[in-house]
Amino acid sequence: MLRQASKWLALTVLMVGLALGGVATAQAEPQYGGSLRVAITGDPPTLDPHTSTAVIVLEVTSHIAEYLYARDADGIVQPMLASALPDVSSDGLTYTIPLRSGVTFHDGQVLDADDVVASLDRWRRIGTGKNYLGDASIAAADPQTVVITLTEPVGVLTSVLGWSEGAAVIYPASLVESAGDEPIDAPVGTGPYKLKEWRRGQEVVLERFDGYASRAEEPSGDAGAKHAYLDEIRFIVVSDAATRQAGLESGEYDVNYRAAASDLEHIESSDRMYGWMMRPGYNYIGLINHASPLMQNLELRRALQAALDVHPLVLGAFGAEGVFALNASIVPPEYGAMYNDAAGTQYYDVADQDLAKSLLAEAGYDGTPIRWLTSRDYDYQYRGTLIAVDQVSQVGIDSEIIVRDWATTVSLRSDPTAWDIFIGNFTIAPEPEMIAYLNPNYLNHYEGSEEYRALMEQLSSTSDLAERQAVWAQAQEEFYEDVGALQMANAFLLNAYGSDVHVEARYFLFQAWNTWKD
Amino acid sequence: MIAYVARRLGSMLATMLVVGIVVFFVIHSVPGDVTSALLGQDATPAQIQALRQRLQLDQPLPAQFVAWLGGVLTGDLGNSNYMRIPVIEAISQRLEPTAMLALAATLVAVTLGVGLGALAAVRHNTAADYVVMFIAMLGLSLPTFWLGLLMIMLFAVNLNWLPAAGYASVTQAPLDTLRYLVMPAASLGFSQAAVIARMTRASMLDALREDFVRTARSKGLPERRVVVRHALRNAMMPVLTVIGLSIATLAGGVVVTETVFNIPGAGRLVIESVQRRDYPVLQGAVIVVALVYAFINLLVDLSYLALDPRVRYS
Amino acid sequence: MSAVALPARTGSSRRGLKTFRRPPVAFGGAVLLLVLTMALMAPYITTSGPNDLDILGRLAPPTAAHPMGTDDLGRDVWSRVAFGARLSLTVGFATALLSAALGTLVALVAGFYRWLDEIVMRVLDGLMALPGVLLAIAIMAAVGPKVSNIVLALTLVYLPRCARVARSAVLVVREHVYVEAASALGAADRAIMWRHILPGTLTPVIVQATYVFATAVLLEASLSFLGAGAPPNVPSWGVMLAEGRLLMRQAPWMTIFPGAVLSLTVLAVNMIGDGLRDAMDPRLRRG
Repeated sequence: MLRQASKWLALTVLMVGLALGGVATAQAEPQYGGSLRVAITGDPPTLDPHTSTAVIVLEVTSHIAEYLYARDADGIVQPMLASALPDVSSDGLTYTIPLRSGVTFHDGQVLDADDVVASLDRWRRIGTGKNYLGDASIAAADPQTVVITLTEPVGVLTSVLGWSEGAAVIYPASLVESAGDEPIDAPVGTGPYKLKEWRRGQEVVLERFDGYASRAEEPSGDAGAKHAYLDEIRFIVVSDAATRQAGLESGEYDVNYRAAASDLEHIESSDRMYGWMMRPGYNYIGLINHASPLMQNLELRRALQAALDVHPLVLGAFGAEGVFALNASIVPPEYGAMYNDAAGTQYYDVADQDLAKSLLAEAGYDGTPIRWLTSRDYDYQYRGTLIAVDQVSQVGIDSEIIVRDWATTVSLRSDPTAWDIFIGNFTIAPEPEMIAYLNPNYLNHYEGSEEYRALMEQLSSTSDLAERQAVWAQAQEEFYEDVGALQMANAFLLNAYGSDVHVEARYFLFQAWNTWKD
Repeated sequence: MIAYVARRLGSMLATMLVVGIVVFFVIHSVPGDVTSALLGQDATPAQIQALRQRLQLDQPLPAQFVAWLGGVLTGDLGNSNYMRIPVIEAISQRLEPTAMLALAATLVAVTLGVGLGALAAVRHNTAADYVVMFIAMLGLSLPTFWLGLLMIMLFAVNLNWLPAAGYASVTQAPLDTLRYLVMPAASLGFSQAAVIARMTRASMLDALREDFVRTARSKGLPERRVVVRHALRNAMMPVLTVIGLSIATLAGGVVVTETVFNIPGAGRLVIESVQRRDYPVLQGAVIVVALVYAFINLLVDLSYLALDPRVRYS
Repeated sequence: MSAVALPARTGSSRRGLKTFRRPPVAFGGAVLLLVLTMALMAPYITTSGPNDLDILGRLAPPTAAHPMGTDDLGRDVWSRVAFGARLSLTVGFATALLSAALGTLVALVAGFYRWLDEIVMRVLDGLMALPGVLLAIAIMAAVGPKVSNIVLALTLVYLPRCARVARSAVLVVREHVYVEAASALGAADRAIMWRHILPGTLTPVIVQATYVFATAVLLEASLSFLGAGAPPNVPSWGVMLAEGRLLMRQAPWMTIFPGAVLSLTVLAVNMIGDGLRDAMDPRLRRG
């Protein structure tokens, strides 16, 4: 126990150190110029967030293209290309969005309402916008105003328009027209950097956009002023973590985007580099396939929930303390308002084998093995699965581990008859409606109890914050009671920087504006 | 001679057809497709369906095969589904590191192999011979990737002499290229060197027993000259075959070595394409590799002609 | 007629026994025996199971309790090495046996019926033009990670190589007088094949099979290293090396021990192979 406590203490010191490190470097005087070489994990499949939710797509393109709104460091939505928050009608159906004037695209065109209408329409047609905009009408009221008229209230619309995953980026109308539904490989945006060259499989090179119209507010998170101190940003594809780290240490790269957790200690002990933990990262959970007959047994799901001992599982999966946080709340604390670590969390991290055994007896479990689908391509999935299987075997649950390479795993996951549980990282969002596994039509086929469905429906048509919090608290309680998923931890993303790189403001994703080099 | 080459090319074509069929159908029977890599994990089923249609992945397999084969026969390997560039371009972009690695490994293998093999033959049944043969045995038995890992541990992690992994283009920083290639080339070349050393030793021993060597010796020529001019030269024929074969079999080793040292070459491209289910690239890469293999084999056969005029092609 | 082949066979087997007295072969035999014992006795010579997890005891350096240390999930490396021998030996042996047997069969049929020969040779050439690792990766991805599938994939890789060796032996034997004589005497094709040609091909095929054993063990490790081999819960040296690769700085024992045992095993088989070759085919003996 004592050993455990001292470990946590050391960890806290480390985290504070990380935070202070960030602050301390921010005090030096910014300098212009230079090239930032960022070693990234893989070649982005496209540079068009409308057509891909992959994080790498977003982190590269966020420098090029912008959205109407953006989140600040406290998770609060602020205007970006819009000049103010939308004016919402009292029935919650009409959003009037005023645009900033004097914003130009990289090709010299001036941003107006037609560009926004064309982009949002495309985002709805081929991207994640479909889930929110549905049959809404999107129209330009005048060159500086866009009006969205919904057919039913969507409480999170503003939040979604300022969200980075599968982002509703704004392109010039002409580009939208010429690209159609094809992915855009040469995006034109309003961002502080423009695309210079994309050598497929090797690097994406961005250069400063001199015509960038910055906001005046202080930089905060994804919002506020964006200073393009660097002349150039090179995203260099280096798929191997050890090579990225070695390159950072030899000075070949300035940033190791996604350092290995096992290198954290080493990074912190060196004065030539420092680490930055991007929180909250992902939700590391056990996704339950509710379409599988076996998993429809509530007592069995409860037995699984009760059997899991979360800390050793996540520690073993990620290989080091300090790169994850045990978190019972489905919306992480970093995302602000909807965070709730009380509702239903008596079911979290129970690790009670006797309870699990009695639940198992109630379930009438007949020894049918649970099929855990996993892939070695992401070792945290595989290791977490091995440990979970080991833990549940101790209460008498049998398992079969199905290991495939990632592409096969993805395709098996979409077959509801092929698996029971999948442990892995899932994207988290500030609003429950935006978290895929809480909603129907996702891989886990989760409908939930009647109360749960009613609560989620109520939530999606509510925009009042206090009311939303109250409704979500009940829904989270229901989700836990019903074991909608095996909630475990937030898995952070570790970025390592050379010590000559300074960052003024950070977001929970990688960004290189407001960043300079000595 | 010309007829021989023509016949060889003909049978090469037949071989390539077999390769094409095997590769196409094996690869397409692998579950999963490129959509997961392209769309990210939160894609909706409708998005996936639309993409499959656009890439014509929903067509029946035989139709896809005919379309692909038709393209290949006209020199068009198609486009990468993931990168949306021609397959040829995708492969040629990644060819430099692989070619440099193969070249360096072959250099290591031939120098070490012929040198040690000749030494062992000349010092037949002495300690030197036994040591060389034992080293060759090790070369055949040590997994190249383990050897690579040990080298990284020693020279990169502990001594910090060489970069642990990666690659620098020869057009930008030729000296760095060398630094990056030392360990991969040594670990990959070692096992090939073993094969070459064994063959060199064996055929040198044969040659040293031949009449013309004895004649040369009896004429009082210096031993060095006898060994190099007469014995080694005559022993080279089977050795050349082995060298040719070893270049051809490098392809498999390159895949593993590029993984160990994270060299962004064609071998990695193949592995990445398997992971992404980028069928056109995968098929194209295998066709290219098989072509190189067949071509080198042909070259080896033809080089007999140059080395030994007694060989006739009937 | 079979009397012609018989003395040669007994002669070679007698030489085969003597072979084991030569130091390299004796060494190889001893090591292989040791590895075999390790595989068979694995449960009795280890103190914890190869898949027993101990998260809090992870990455422990070698101690008395864990002579080869523990890995990133706290599993005992020694136990995994010992149990891993089972996979390597099974795959090596099964692949050698299958590809030699099937390869010989293909060669017999193709070598005897000349019209088939050309087609078979083109198919074999095609298979051989594909790098073994790539072919095996593709097959494994298609059929899924099972031990039997590894054997299947590796057999497809090595069958053509065995068939080639067997074929050239068939061609030599076929020209021998006694086969022609048997044929002239009206013996059935099948009888000629089994009784006269097969024995003549055995020697080179057995030598080849030994090398297939060694390289199949290596290839299984490479496949598992690349993530396309052994199923979960089946300890594999290749998988262990892949896991150790990511932790070379923190836990070198995860890389050193499995690799050393793997290399020793392959070395042993290769030494035996060389000995067999020298003993069975004096023409190939060098020195």
